Amino acid sequence: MTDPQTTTILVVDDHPLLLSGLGMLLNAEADLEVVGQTDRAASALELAEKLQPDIILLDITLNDTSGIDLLPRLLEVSPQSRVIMLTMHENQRYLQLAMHAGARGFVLKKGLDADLLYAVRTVHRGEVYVHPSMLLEFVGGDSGRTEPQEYQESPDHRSQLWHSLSQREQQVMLAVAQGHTSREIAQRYFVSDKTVTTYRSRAMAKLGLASKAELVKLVMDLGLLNP
Amino acid sequence: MIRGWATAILNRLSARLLGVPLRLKIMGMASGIIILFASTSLYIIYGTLTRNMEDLLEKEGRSIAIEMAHEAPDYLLINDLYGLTRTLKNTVRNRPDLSYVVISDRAGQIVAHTFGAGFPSELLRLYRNHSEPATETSLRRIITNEGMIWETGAPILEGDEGRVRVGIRETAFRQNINNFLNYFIWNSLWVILVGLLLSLYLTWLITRPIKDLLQATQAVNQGDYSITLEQPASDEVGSLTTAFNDMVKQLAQAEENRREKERLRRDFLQKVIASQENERKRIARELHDQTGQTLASIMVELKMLERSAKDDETSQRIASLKQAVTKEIGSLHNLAVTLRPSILDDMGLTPALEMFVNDIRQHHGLEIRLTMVGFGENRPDSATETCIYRIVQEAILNAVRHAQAREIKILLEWQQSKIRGVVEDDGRGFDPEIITSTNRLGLYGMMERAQLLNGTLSIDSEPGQGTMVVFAVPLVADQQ
Ligand SMILES: Nc1ncnc2c1ncn2[C@@H]1O[C@H](COP(=O)(O)OP(=O)(O)O)[C@@H](O)[C@H]1O
Ligand SMILES: [Mg+2]
Repeated sequence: MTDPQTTTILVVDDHPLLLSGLGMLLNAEADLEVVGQTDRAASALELAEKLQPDIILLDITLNDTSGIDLLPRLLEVSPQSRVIMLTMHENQRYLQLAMHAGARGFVLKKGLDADLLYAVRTVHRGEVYVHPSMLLEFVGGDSGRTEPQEYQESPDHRSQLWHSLSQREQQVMLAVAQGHTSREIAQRYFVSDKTVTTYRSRAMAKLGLASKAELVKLVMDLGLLNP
Repeated sequence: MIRGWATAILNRLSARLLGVPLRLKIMGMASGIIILFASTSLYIIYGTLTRNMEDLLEKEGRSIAIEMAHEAPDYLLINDLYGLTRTLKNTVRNRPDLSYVVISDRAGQIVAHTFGAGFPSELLRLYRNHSEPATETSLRRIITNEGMIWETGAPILEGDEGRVRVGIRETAFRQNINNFLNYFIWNSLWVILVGLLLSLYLTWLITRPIKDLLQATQAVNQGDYSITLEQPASDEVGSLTTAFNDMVKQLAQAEENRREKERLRRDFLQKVIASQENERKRIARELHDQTGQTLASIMVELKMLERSAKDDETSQRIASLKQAVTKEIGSLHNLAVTLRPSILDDMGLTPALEMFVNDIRQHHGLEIRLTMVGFGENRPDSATETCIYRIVQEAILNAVRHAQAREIKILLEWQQSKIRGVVEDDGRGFDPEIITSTNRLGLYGMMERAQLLNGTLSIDSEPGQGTMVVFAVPLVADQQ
């Protein structure tokens, strides 16, 4: 019978050596106990249902399935378990998916030695653990440059394309749409005609436009220029 | 000098003529020849006829005058002027050309004439003012209101008994000649008309196959090799047509060969690329799942050993071993990702590119911005994903390695039938022509990859102007 004070752990990893190593590492701790180990999804579900462990350590890449797919099903059969992902992939996308699927921890295999025990205890306490090198980006401190979720929300391609242009590019394109010549624009911004021409053709390429007429239409459709 | 002018004019003329359509040339030639021929004939005939007429008029005048000169003495000797006048009038009546006959005596006094009402005073004045040699025949032309009159004079009895003058009208002869000329000219006009029609037909005959040839040439130019022209004749144009048909056949064959070769090349390249990607995928998996896991377990074991370490030195050595293993796992991961990021297969282009861009940002400290428009949860097929990933990867790495750029911008747009992309840097730029001269494969590979999926890729760069790679890959990877 397990002491109610000890944290019960189920380890799901498809690498036997790592499996046994993890078992020893965790069991060596007085407050932790590995109650089950498996390398296959089916038996993982079975064990989870039977053992109702406090913590499930789950590898992302399993032989027969992806840990991220398995996660919600594990939580279904053992709702009070907390899942910590264990992975080689130092990758925001995996992190996001895992957390979204209900994981409470994200441990990189390269950080196994220092982080694992700390992560298990933290998560068992009811907190969340993410490997420090990924945390900053995850919470958005370093982000704001790529917003994968926001693409779908704004269906208007053309407005997004327009806003992908730099301030200066937008100004030049507006001036072109208003019918100013490259020379006039060059004089206005104190650059050479050539620079404006290059600027202009590249901005057109970015907008995917072939002619000035298309540009005028785009600019009017976006409400940036009155007819 | 003059010769120079002449050649200049000739050249200009030739140039002009060359510009005229063939049909006009042939028709001009035909009508020119007819007109030239008709007008020279006309000139010659007119001259001959006129000369003949003059001969005739002269001879007739003389014979009548001499005849009259023979008859006149009979009347003159008996002074039968009445009879003489009647004979003269008879003669005039019988010969419609004859205008008048006048007989004068030795002193030049008119003794008989055929003018009924009265002798015309102009004629009288003429006789008085312009006398002729009395003993010889004479000929002169007088212009009257009846037209030209040929007047022949002949002495009667060697001039002893006076002189006979016979006036013959030219009008009738002239009329004849003019009638004839009219007839001739009309005829020539008809001939010209017929000639023109004929040459029209001829030119049609000649130019029709040329037009066909022209059309066929244009078709071949557009890549349609299915044309075979029928051969209308065995003339020069006919041989040209035959030669043309042969040429088209050969071109078609050559094109076919080229296509086949190109197809084989593409096939081969596609296989090479596919197997390369597969191999990379396999190795990356292996590194991750085998070597990586093993290292991870070693790490765990080390952790255990550290616990049971008896002395400080041992635990320190274990700690440094652990550090080494941690580093190794990290670089193993990087290596695998460089080979082929598993995220590309597992989750698609968007996260794979985001990861790549993040990596670059962290390791190279430059502004790099990725904008993906319209992708949402969409994923193109894996060949397209790989193609785009590799193109963007190469373009970014080039910007990082060669451009000394401060900023890199990547824009991808999911369109109805294709994915369009732009990778732009603000670096030092280069002359894209070098692709053909260098044996570097990066830029070349980007183009090849795009073309293999029937996409397009162009590089817009020049020294000092930064670089922009623009590409488009169709979504339905329609592979030929
Ligand atoms: N973005 C860029 N900015 C400046 N120079 C570039 C850029 N991309 C390519 N080049 C030039 O073109 C050459 C060929 O590029 P590539 O075919 O990718 O080969 P590699 O990158 O292996 O040198 C590079 O060596 C570099 O001189
Ligand atoms: Mg390169």
